[in-house]
Amino acid sequence: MLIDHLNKTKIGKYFRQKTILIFLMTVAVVGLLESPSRSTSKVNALKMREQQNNAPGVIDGAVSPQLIPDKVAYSLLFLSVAELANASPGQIARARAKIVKAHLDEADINAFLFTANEYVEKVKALSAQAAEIHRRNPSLNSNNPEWQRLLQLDKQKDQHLTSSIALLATRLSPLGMRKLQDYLQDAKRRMKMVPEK
Amino acid sequence: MASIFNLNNLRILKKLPTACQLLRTGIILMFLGGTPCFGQYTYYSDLSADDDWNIIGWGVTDVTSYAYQHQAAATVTLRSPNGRITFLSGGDYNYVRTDVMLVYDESDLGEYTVSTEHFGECSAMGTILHAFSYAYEVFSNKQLTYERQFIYEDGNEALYKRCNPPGTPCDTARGRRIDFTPPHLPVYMIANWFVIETGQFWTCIGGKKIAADSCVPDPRP
Repeated sequence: MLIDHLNKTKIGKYFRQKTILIFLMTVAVVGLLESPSRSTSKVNALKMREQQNNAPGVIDGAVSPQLIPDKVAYSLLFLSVAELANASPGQIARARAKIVKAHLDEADINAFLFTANEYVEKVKALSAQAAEIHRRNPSLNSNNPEWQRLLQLDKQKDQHLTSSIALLATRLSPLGMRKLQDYLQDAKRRMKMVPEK
Repeated sequence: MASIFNLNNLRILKKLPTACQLLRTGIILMFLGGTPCFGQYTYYSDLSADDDWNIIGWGVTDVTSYAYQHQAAATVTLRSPNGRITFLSGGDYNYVRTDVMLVYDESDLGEYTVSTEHFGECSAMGTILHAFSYAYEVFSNKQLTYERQFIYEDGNEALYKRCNPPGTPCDTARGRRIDFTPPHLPVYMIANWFVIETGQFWTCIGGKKIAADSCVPDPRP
């Protein structure tokens, strides 16, 4: 389904064009720089170095985790674990696995996943409203009254995130909350953020 | 196509500086991406293991802006120490999460890496994000010994503490009567764990438990 979506969207075209370009350039770079005697591990090291290329102005959690706000980290965690209401047993197991490194007990895992699913459901509802507004107004700009409605949706998303984080403190045990906070600080090392200009 | 990069061709060698400069400029432009649109962009890669010891990896790209209706995409690649690879691309409006998995293979343990190529596009200004993130974890099998501390009220489950030595990773474990054959709660047990080792603490994911004669040694520490 996602591939179908990609085929239909602009970003799908972007994907195809850029993927081909990146592939050709990678082949070229490897062809120019690599002799056959170089080991596979060195190729992997080059790839890893390449993967460390960051977006302009990025805050890299691996370098400065303290600069990634908790709110941003919670949002990425919620998006990571959330599953649909009719998730299969395999999808539920996957969601639980994603939080296993937090060392939460059963009740706290359930409380965290419930809160994450609840938040993402709200976000999906906001996205659907935004999509509907864009559908009705294909060339929407800031002079259109609907524009304010879209900005309002952005604010609502932020409010949902704030209240979901607050709910965690009431739904998890105090020990669970401490463990989650510790895990969050660790997870920030694998997160990156380009702040709003 | 391959002959273009034949370094034995002298005519091509003379042209290489120009070709390399163009190539480098092209790569830099691609990795820098376009002018930022409005909003904050966040991205993330991570990996873990499920109860069946399968390795799961995922990447999240979040470029949400309802006003500009951004599009997000993530291509996630998971690699095993022995070179097994799985990858998947996903895209959607505002944010996307892409999940991949490699099944457990006891001959393929060690450092797994997950890497994600993140894309974001703004309807008003084109490319707003093209970046990478990655994460890695070391996975292993451990067999550790435990001593029973107490039996829970219902009589079907007990708390065990690691005894070689105490206070070490995966310090406690629960054992249920039905974990053992015949069903009972032995004084000593060996727990087979799938362990995520990277970081300050181990994460022990439960597997088969068997009764043991004593506290030591750990069969596979």
